[in-house]
Amino acid sequence: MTTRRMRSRLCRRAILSLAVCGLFAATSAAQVPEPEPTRPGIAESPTITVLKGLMVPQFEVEMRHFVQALGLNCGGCHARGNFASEANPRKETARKMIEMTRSLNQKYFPGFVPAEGETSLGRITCYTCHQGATEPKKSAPLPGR
Amino acid sequence: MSRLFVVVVALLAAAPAAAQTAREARPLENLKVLTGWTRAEVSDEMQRMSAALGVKCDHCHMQGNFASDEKRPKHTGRRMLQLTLELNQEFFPAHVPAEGESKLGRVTCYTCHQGAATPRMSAGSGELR
Repeated sequence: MTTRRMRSRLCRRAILSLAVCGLFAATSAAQVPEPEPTRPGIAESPTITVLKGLMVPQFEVEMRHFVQALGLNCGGCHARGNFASEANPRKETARKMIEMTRSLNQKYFPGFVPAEGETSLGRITCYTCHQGATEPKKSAPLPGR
Repeated sequence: MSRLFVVVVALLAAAPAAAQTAREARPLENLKVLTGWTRAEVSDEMQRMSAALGVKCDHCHMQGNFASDEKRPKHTGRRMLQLTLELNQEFFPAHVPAEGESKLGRVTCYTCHQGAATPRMSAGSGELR
């Protein structure tokens, strides 16, 4: 009798602990599909044809560098309200200039590693030539101008 | 007597001009990148380089021996001229320099240097690295 009672008690305990384990597993399983904390992705769009493979924050840093270097705002290249639009021809010029800068950096400054916060383009940046102006200079301004 | 005088005067007057032509005809020594440029064109570009970088001749050249390759900046100068020539050829082939402009093309030394020996990288930077 005692053995039987002990057995059933053990059995009940086992079932209880199994149930607790199951419940625990169920709750932790329910936590897994929770959306991951917002990790920045790669900036992708059919109209991103040159600045490809950059993480979104770095892509935005590059855009801000353009703005500073050329003394323009977003509207300098982008149609208002539609950043993907190709309506403004300056956007295509910018792409050509990015390719130019990249090929220069690749060929002439391959060892250069940009520091934190610097453009990922390399040693030669938009600012290097533009220095705040839409049209880069060819020579020193004439005296009196 | 007077005829001799005229000949002597004429010779004296012609001498500096002849020396100038001879100098112009003599090829520049150790020219490796601006090959095919005339002495006057090279000389003009040198003045532009000096103004663009805010340096004097001796930044790249040995005093008294301009052909010497001893100074490192001369090698950098050649490389940068090469960069500029290639850049203009590939990206601005249609540009024809106006009278008094650099023969290099749309992009010149001044375009990046703007008076400083080291070009800038961003608005906030002075001379970086």
